Amino acid sequence: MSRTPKTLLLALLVTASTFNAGSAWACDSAEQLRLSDEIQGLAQKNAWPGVERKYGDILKTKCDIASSIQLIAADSALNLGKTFERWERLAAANAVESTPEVAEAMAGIEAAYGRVHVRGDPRRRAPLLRDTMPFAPDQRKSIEWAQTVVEGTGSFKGMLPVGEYKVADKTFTVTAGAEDFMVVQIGKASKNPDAATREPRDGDQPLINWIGPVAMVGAGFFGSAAPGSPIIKTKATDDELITGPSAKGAIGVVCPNIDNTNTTDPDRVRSSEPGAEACLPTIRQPGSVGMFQTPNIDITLGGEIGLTYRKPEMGVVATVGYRRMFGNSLNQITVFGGWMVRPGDFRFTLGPTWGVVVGGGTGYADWVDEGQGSEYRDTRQKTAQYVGYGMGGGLAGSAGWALLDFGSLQGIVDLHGHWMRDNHRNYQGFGLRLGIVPKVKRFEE
Amino acid sequence: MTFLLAGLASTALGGEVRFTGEGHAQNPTWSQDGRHLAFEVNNYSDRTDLHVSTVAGDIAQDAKKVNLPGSGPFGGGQVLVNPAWHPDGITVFEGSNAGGQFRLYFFAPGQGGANEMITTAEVPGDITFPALNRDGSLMAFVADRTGNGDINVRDSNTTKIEIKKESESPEMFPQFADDGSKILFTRKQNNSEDVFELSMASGQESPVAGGAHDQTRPVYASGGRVLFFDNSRVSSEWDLATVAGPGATKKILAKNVRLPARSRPAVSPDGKWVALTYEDPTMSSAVYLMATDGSNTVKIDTAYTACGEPAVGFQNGKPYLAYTALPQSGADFRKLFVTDLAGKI
Repeated sequence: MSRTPKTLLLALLVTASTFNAGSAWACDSAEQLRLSDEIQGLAQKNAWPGVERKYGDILKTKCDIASSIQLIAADSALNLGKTFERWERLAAANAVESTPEVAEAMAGIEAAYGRVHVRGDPRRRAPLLRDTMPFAPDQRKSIEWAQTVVEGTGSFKGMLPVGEYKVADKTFTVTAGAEDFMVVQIGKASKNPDAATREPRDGDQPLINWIGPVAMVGAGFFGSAAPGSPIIKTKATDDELITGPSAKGAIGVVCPNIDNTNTTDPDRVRSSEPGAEACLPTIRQPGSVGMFQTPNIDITLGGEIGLTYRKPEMGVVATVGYRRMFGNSLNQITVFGGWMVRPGDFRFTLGPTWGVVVGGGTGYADWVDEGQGSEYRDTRQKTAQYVGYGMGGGLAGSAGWALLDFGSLQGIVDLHGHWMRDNHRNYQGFGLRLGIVPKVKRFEE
Repeated sequence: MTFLLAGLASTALGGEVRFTGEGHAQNPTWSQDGRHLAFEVNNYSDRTDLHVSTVAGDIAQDAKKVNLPGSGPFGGGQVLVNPAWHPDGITVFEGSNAGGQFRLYFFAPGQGGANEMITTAEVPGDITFPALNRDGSLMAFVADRTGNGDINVRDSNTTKIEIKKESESPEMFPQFADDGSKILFTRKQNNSEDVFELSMASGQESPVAGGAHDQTRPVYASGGRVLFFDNSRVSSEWDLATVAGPGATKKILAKNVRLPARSRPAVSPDGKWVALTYEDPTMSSAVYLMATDGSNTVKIDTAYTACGEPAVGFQNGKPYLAYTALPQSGADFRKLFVTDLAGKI
């Protein structure tokens, strides 16, 4: 092949791949086709809730949607009483392919319905009322849908048949044809609809939106670097990480002026030579526990309480966690209490933690015998086993995604991180967990 | 029969109600406010369409054809018949697609297309003969879910549907009294159709009119009077008959009238007048308005022939007459016309 055709072929291939890459990101056409078929099949069975779900999915494909699909979705909205959604989908169909029937249907909606935005409080949900329901079944369904939304969320934004309505302490009249939404702002709902002049009572909704267990298991990594500088034991009662029968006084020293003739190992005999620089005893500290060298298993149990109703729903969470580090025989037990927020299917937590690390390992901090004369250095520095504990407070947080529904619970994948500090060193780690959390009760529109 | 002419009989200045397509116009039905006129167009082949015209005075806008949902503008094989009007300006009618079941649909002029009134989940099978009471709070219809046609009643506010009258024989032609306390209906048994009245409160039925052959399409008039078509005199001829109430003596108001394709006796909304036409060709260029007690008759001459299918409506208190006729002898199809009755009744 000559150079020119090769170049041209290469250019074509690059262009094609670039186009495909761009298209793949912009529109999942295969998925769109599949969903279109499903929508048509569901519509033939009058399975309108199914049509709604698939229509929501097809919108996510970011593909241009055929007029026929928009019209089916408009029929679905009609059958479910979602009048504003019906108007929107007719408009979308009209934008693709303008027909007199679609224009007539839109005009019919504009002639009989008005746009309303009832702004309420999700915690105080007053019923939407109308004295007499319309004769036309589609108008009736429209009102019933709005009533369902208000009951589930406290608010409604959509279209209602013309007429007079009441919600909480507000009476309003819907008129046809306005392009803007009429806003109806309502205050706290009184439980006694006749007590128009009484102070409204606190909330129609309970204080607790939801409450449920949190249970997770996972794996992660744990690390704790040894303190960078020697920690001098200044008094006999100084805390030492290492305790127990094998711990006899200070195990190491640090000597500011290295003078082999004057260094002493406090484990042996302190020099009494006048002027000799005394070495200072250090407390025992384990060496660094490498983060990625120390995998751990993580078990968390607890519960969460949802306290708010407005999105994103929030509340508090409290858990007890246990981590077992491999490589070392370290265990960490923590208690966590913090704030939790649940936007959509996501779950975020953040808050203080308090814990204890207990167990043992091998090797002390490098500075344990720093400055020691070689003949005095404790040969156990790198090989000595230690046993002990540390405790302190810190911070922990997580980000999770609830993927599966199990009735009142959801299965979640959770990425978490934690940090705590005792008097001398930090303990930190992160990991991935799978577990269950309560499902947030939400009204699905 | 005698006629008492109220003023000079004059040639009516009828306005034609134009519609698309070809066929015979029939069964014009006025809305309660007189602003809309629904009527059928039957091509006597494969379809009967429903058209609705908006009327201002005796000027009727070109009628708009109603399509069943999902049928498209050229849906073939449709049958849309028997419109009945709700006071909100919504018409309920029977509809069937290409030989399918008859279901009830509703249509509001200027508010989009027709939609199903009652779902198959609520009432399966064929549902026909919609009839509304004056305030629209009740709707009666005939459903065959038990195998025979039974009278069902739907509460407009609660949407609850109840079988009000069922028997082994088919019931038909339900018609409410204005206050909804009673329903007229017919029952076909032993090859004879008779008229009955049903109490909504007690569920008791009372015979209204019967006899040889058929008494059919009953309708209430003023004072509790009931009018109906009757062929007991001569089976091939239909008379307009009346009784003062259930069980009262039948009185023939007019003999050998032109039986409409589907309509009941064309009683005016106030119940005082009934419009009728005659089979007699010498009388077929006029529409006659008769007091429902038979005490008075007004002749409305037209410029057309073979007049039929009359209907009287009120718009802002003024009476109007809709009727069909052949524009000229030998014309292919019957047209629909509207004329002002002010000063005549």
